[in-house]
Amino acid sequence: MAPKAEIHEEQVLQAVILAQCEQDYGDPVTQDVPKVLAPLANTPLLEYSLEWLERCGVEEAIVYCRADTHLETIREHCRVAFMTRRGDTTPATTHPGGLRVNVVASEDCHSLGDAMRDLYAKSLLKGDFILLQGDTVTTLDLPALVTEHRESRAADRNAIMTCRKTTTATLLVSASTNKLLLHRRRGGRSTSSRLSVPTELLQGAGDILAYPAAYDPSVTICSEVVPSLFSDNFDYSTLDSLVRGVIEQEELLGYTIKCRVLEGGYAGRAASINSLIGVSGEVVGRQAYPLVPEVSQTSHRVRYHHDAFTHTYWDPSAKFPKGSMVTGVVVGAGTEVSPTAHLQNTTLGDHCTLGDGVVVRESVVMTGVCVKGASKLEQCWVGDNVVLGEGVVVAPGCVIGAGVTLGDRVVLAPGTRLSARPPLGDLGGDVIEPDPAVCGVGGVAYVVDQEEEEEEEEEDEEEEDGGGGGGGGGEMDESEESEEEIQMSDDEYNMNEFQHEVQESLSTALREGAAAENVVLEINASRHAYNVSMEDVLTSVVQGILKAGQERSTASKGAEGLWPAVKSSITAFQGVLRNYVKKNRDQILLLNAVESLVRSCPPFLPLAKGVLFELNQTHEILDDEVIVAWYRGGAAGATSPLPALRTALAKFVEWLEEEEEESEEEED
Amino acid sequence: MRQEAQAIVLAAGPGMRMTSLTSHTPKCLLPLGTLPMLCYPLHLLQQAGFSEVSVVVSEGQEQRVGKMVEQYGLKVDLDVAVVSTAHDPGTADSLRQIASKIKQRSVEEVVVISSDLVTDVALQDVLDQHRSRGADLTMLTSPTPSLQTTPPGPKSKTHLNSDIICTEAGSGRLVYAVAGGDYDECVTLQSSLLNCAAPLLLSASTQDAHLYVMKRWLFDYVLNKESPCADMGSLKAEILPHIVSCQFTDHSSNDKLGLSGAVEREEWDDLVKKYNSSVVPSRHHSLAHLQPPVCLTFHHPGLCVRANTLHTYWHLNRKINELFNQVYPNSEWQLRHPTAVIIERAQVSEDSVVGGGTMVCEKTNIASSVVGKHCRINPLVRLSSSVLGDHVTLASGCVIENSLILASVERKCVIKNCIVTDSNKIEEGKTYSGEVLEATQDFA
Repeated sequence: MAPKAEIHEEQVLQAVILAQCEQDYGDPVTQDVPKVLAPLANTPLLEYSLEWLERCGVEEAIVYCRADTHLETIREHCRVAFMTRRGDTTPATTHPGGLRVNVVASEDCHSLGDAMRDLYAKSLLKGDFILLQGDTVTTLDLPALVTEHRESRAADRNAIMTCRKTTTATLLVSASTNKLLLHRRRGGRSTSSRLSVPTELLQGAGDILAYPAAYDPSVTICSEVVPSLFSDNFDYSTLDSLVRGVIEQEELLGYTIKCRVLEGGYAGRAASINSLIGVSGEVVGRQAYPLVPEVSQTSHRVRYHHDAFTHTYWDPSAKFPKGSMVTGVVVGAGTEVSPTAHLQNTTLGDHCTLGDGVVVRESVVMTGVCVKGASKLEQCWVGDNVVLGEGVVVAPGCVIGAGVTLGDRVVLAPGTRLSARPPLGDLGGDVIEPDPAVCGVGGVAYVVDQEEEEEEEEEDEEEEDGGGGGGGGGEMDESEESEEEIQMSDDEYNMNEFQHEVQESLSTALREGAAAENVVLEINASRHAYNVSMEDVLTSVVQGILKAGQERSTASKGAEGLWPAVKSSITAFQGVLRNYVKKNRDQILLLNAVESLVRSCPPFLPLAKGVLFELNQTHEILDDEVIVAWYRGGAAGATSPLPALRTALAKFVEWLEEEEEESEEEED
Repeated sequence: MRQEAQAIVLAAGPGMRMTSLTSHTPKCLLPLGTLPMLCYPLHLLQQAGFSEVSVVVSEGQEQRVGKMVEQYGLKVDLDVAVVSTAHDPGTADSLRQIASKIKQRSVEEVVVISSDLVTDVALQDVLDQHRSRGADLTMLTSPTPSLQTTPPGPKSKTHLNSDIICTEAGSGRLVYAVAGGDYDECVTLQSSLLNCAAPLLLSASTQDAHLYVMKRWLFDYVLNKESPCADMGSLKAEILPHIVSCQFTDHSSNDKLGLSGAVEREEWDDLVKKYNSSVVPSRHHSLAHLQPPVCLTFHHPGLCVRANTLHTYWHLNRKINELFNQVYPNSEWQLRHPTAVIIERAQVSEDSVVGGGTMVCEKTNIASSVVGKHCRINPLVRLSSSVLGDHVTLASGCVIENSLILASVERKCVIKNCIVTDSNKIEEGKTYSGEVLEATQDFA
């Protein structure tokens, strides 16, 4: 932790902690506990940021949250936490030097922009302030950054923000002035995965440092202008949109944003449950030193024993096996763990009981949880007072809400979310009984509607893909849009575009009856444009021909007419195919292309035999031997990825073989 | 003695960016100081210990280039290859021309250098870095030179865009390079690059000096008829970006077009055994494929100028007096040649350069100029801030300022800011300013 800094300024240094504006952990977690109070190594998340702010000399923290069921919990928490922090019960306001916490709530706060507009209207912000998310765990040297911000403001009144980034955003920063030139969050539908740098910038700004994967801990030092900018433009809903707007309209508004890329320090955001577990692992691994689990962030007293070898922390009253079976674990007061249990990177709350042979990996277990023998939990969230029967298997990504009871030997599919409360829609009706198929005999649990959660799941995966590296380590935060994200590499992108174009060419040609040469010309042009290999061309052409037939059929007669349409498509394009199939190798590629098409498009399965027959017998593009070799060589055996195709082709191949033998015999 | 590295000087360039000069003299033989331009890279190689150098020249120049070594006291053996100019050859075509000769030699590295490079870099350092860091390709980079001089001839508006070079900050690893003029409003970085943690330094103020050190296998790959480089024409604009991007190609999706594919091909029946299903056939290659190339840059902050435009060429010529010892060290060649005859009553300023066999008559005044070999400066000539080629005669009484004269001026006249390549264009007593006086084709 940075030493307590003296920032001698007449103005009060303020911080805004956004407690609930960004996306939360989803049901049922949010029903049980507000996000900022979710435990990270048995300490509420909010405590980490408050502690950090106080240590950095911030005088007033505004905790901004939505006025909902959790508002009072947060308010109460802040009040009580502050008394313990001071070690007395006098109200915090009587200590002039300390951090004052002010909980502000609004009815309709849906975004950061709303929060800023509200704060602006209430004119609670007086000068430069620090803006951070409530799920941030960081040890960055804030005083140095504030000083830097003030210096740059002194030099240039229009420098309105200093963000620090220590992996989700792509940044372009001018090497000499630290000015932020381009900021793009990765992922999202609209942005491609490639980075285009306007050359104009290069000519104008000198050398540019590009940080392709800068981690953004969402800590921003803003000047008082920022809230007013949000008020002026209601399009700005997130910080990102503001940043984009300021950069785009630099000439108009005249504001600039400085960017500081830090090498050291720790910053992590527990934006989703997965990242919560990740950040938790890092805190337990002492990467966020001096924010360590054994010291209570509220009372500054040592609360846990600590084993430095295994990074294990435990309350003196906890009973659990110390040894190689238990690593990276935080065990709360009164918890009992069987000596044969296996724990790894897990946080156990107070008063939990874990039976014999229980395996828990990378999970968060809240208070009062009882897990009976031989259960397996992996990467999951287990709420307060959950009871799991014997032999329960919880797959990664599951969330078990508070009070859920599961019977023996229940197996949860990955990403299942269970709540002890029945779905809301049925409140007025009869009390519906828990489904035993879900929660086992004697269990109480309801599956929470998966729709929304699935999306989050995907985002989480994305995070993991892109993570790793980055100075501060930690998880990445998530993009605002919870849209389904498509990330493609260059090659994939080219390939997709190419396939699309080939498909287009073939469909048009089929409609208009264009000559083979012209189609080949068109395809070759696309091939050069997207730099695609001959193999991929062949694959795309074959699949394109079959699909063109399919398009035709759906346009006219529906499923019935599929085969005649595909057949006519093959006949129409046999010249095109001939152009691409020259060697035996190409025939194999052709066959593989058919196979992969069948795999992705099951309607083609019954057609596979016919397609091969046409190509083999009618057009003589495929040789008998090649088909047999292809079939015997790989489609054989239990490893065949597509047994259905195999059976579909079996007769045809057998017939081919017979015919071959016959012809050989004849030759003899 | 076996050489570890083979040097190739690409001297067949037609000098497209300075056509007003190269219509008269091939680019590599344009005078720079009192030496032909080609001498500078040759000397650089000689300094680094090369005893044999291959030079690729365009048709018709082999004789003159062959004689150069003797003429200018160089101690390297030249191996001159000729490339036909019929089809507008690119730098890569030049390489292919010489490929058969290189193939027979068992060298570890190939140094490819452009004939227009004037630099004071120690080539040995570049080679050392190349070897010690295990690079497959090392590119010499330098800050884009700032040019204060104004070249003669009409004011040209077309300003050539500078190269954009993207390196990994710290390691100097080359991750992206695009030649000036090959980009529009945007340069696009591959997605694979964006997954690296280190920041990337994008710079438009760094230039590719067109000196490359390549590992032998990479060189062979470039020349391989089956590699995708086979139909590329330019080393800098096409092949280099290709190699650089190969560094980051995902090898699991790498297909036959990739580096690995060119080296290794598989019989179709093997493919059948392994990939009867829809697995991409090329996936196998990632198991046996060659390491992706490692491209590094060697940044030379000192002097490094390519005389490939009129502007840089002019700049170098004007400054050659100061730079000569830097870029042409340890040589017996002198800028003020002892065989030059300078009549005592002629005034030749200290910062002027006079080539061998030149006669400077009395009552002349030469200031800040370069006078080539075997010139004759007749009496009463005033020459300032100008460059004269070889075998140029200036008629008595001429006044020449800030001009490039490659042909004799046989009539008395005043020439300012001009390029003269044809003596017939000069008329008695006229004043020329800001023109190009070159031979035009007579259509009559």
